[in-house]
Amino acid sequence: MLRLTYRMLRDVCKARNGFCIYNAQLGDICRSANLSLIGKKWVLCLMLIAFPINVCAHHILGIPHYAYDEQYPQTPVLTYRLEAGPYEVRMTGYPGKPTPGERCTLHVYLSRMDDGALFEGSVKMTVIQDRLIGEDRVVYGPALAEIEERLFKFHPTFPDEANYLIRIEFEVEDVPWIVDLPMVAGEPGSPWTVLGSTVFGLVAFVVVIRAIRIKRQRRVSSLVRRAAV
Amino acid sequence: MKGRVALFFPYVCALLVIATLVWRNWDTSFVVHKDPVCHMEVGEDLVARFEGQSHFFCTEHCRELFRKNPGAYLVVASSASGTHTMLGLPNWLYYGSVGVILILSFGVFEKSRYNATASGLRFDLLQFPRLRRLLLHSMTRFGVHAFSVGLFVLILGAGLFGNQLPSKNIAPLLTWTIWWGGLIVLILYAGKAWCYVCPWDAIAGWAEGLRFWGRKGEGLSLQIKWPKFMRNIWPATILFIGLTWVEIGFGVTMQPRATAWLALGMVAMAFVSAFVFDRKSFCRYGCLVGRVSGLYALFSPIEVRARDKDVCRSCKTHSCYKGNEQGEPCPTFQYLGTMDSSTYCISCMECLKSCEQENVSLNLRPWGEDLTKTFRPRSDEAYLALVLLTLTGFHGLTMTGLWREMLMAIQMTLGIGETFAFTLGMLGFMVAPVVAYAGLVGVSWFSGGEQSVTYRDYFIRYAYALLPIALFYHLAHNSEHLLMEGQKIVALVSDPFGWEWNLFGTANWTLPPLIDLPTLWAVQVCLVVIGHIYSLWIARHTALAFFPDSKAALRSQLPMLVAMILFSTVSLWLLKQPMEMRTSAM
Repeated sequence: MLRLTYRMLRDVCKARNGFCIYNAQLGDICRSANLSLIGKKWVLCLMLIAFPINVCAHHILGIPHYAYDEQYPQTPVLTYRLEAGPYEVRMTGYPGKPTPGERCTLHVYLSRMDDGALFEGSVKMTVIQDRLIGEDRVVYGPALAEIEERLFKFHPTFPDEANYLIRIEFEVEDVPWIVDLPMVAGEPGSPWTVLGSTVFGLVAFVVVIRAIRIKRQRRVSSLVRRAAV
Repeated sequence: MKGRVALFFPYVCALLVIATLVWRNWDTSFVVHKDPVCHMEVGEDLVARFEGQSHFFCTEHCRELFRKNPGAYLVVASSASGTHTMLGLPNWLYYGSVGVILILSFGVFEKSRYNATASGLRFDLLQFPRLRRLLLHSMTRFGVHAFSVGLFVLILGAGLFGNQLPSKNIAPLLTWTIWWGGLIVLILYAGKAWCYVCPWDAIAGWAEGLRFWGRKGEGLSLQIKWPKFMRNIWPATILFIGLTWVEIGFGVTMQPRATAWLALGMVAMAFVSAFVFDRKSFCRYGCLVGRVSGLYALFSPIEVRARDKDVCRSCKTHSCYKGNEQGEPCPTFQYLGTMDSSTYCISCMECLKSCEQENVSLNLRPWGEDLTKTFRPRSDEAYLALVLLTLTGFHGLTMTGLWREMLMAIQMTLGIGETFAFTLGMLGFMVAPVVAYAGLVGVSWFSGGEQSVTYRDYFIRYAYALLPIALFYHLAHNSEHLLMEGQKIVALVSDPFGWEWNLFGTANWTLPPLIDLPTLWAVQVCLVVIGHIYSLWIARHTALAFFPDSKAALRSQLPMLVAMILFSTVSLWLLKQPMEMRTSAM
C-alpha cells in the first residue's frame, strides 16, 4: 500500500511537472506494475480497487508486441517492438529467459519510423527489480551507451528469481522518452502457486463447512434427545 | 407485428444472416492477405497492383488511399505492429440509418394501434415427445455439463500453463471473442440456455452435492438463507461493472493467465456460495453472467412457463418450488404458477421433472414478450438495464481513438494517472446517459399529467424499454469480433496451448474473416435499427399501460422517443468510428 501510495504521489508529481503522458497505454502500465505476475495479482487488484491510481506514465505508443521465439535452436531470445515518439524501439534479449546470476545481453535498436534513420544520441538503461512489498530495487544502471554497430548494447545481470523492468530512456529534441519493458528471470510466479493456493483454500473452506455441519447436527440431535427425555 | 410473423421473425433474421455468410463465403479462396492500409486480414475481393505485386483491401476506401500513395503504405506495412484499425460505417450509411430511425420514431410507430393486453403466439416445444424425454433424462444435463466443464478446464489449463502470447493461446479467443460474443447471440435465440450449460455452476454443484447426475441428497451446504439486504441484483451489477473495469482497464482480454484467473474467480464464488447458501442463491442474486443474461432474456424468444395457471392454482404440492423425488426444488425460488418473466429462471428444467401435473411448457414466443407485459418492475433491474446500455456503449468507445484523446484530456486537466483517469472516464460515461435519461423521464412525467403514477414508476418502467437498444448494439459490436476474428479458432483448436502442436492438422491455417466489411456494416445497421424498433414498440406499450388514453400516452412518450433516438444514434455513431481491434493482435 505504501508503495502504491508512493507511486500515486510520484505519478501526480510527474504529471504536474509537465511530464508528458501522451498516449500512455494501460497495457504497458499494467505490465510496468507487473500485474500479470502470479501471487501479486490478487493483492494488487484489491489494492487498486481501494486506491485506483496510475502506476507509471511514459511516452509509449501502442502495446508492445513481444515473443519468446521458441524456434530458436538454442536459448530463447526475447524480442520487443514498440513505438516511442517518432522512433521504433526494438529490444532483443539473449537469453530471453535468463536464470538468476546469468549475464544477459540486451540490444536496443532505435530507428525513425518515417525514414528508418538510426538514433544517434545516447541511450540510458536501468534494470529495476519490481517488488510488491518494499521499494523497487535498481539492480543495474543507469548505464549509458552510445551507438555501436547500429545498436546500443547492455549487459545486465539479474541477481534473483524475480520480475524486472527494463527502463530505456532517450531524448529527442529535449523531449525525454521513457520505455518500460518487463523481463522475468527464472520463474517467480508459477501458475501452480495460484492454482495450488486456490485449491487449498477451497478444500480448507469445505473442511470448515463440514465441521460446522457436524457441530450443528450434534446440537440438533442433543436437542432431540433432551426433548425425548 | 402479429401472430406468426412475430413468432417467426427472429428465425427469419437468423436465416438471412446465415444466408449472407454462406453467400459471401461461397467461393472464398481461403487465402489470407493483409490490407496494407489498415492491416486487417482480408480475402481476395478487392485488389490493386503496384510494381508487379498484388495487394488486397478490406474496402474501396482503403484501396483508394493506397492508390493515391502506395509507397507510404508499403513502408509502414513493413514495420507495422500486429494491431489494425477497422473502418467504421461510411457517412452515407450512418446518415441514412439515422434518417430511418427518425422516420420510424416519429412517422410510423406513433400512428400504429396497439392492444396492450394481447399476448403473442406461443409454440410449445415440449409437444415433441423426444425433446421432452431428452430433457427429462438425468444424463442429458450431465452430458452438457461435462462438455462445458471440459472446455472450461481447457481455458484454465491454456491460460495458466500455455504460451502467454494471446495469439498462440486459445484461452483469450475462446473466452472473450467466441464465448462472450456468442453469449449475446445465445440469449437472443435461446434465452437462459447458458445457465443450463454453465460450467462453474456445474463444478460447484458436483462438489456440493457429491454426485454428477440425478437428484442430489442432503448435500454439504450449510443452507443458510441469502442475507435479506442482498436479495436483489445489485451484487451482480457491481460485479459486472467490476469485470468491465478490469477487462478494459487492464487489458485482460489480451492476457491468457489473467483470463484464467477470472475464470477461477467465478468458480470460487459459485463454489463458496453453493456451500454456504440455500439452493442456488449465487445464480439468483450474485452471478453477473446470469443476471445480465437474465435481464436480456426478457427479450428472448423462449420461455419456461406453466401450461395452464389454473392447474397451478389447484395444485397442493407445489413440487416445482419445493421439489420431490423426481426433481430438485427450484434453484432460484421461482413458482411456476406466479412466474411472469424469464429473468430469474435458469432453465434447469427441474420443474419439468418434478411437476406431477405435467403442466410445464417450453414455449417459443415473439421477441420482447416479457417487456410488454405488466410484470413487476424492480428498481435494481432497471438500473442494471441502464448499466448495460451505458457499459456496452463504453466498451465500444474505448476501442476508438477518441477515447484515448478523452483519457489524455482528463489526465492533463486533473493531473492524475491513467488508471484513475480511466476510472473517472468510465464513471462519467456511466453516469451521463443515466442523468440524461432521468431528465427526459422528468419531462415525460410532467407532460403525462397523470398524478397517480410516480416519477419512480416512470423511471423504472421506461428503463426496460431501453433494453433492446442495449442488446442489439451489444450484438452489433460483438458481431464484429465474432465474424472478423472468430475464425482464428480453427487454427487454435489444433494448438490450444501454443506449444507447437498440430492435433487436427489445422494449426497453420489462416482463414479470412467470415464476412467482408461492407456486409458487416449492413448487418450492424440492421441490428441497431431492429433494436430501436423493438424499443419503440415496448415504450408504446409502457405508455399505454400508464395512460389508457392514446393521446396522453403519446404526449408522455415523446421525451422517451428523444431518449431512444439519442441512444440509437450514439450506437450508430460508435459503429461509425474506426475501431482499434486490440484483440486482433491475437
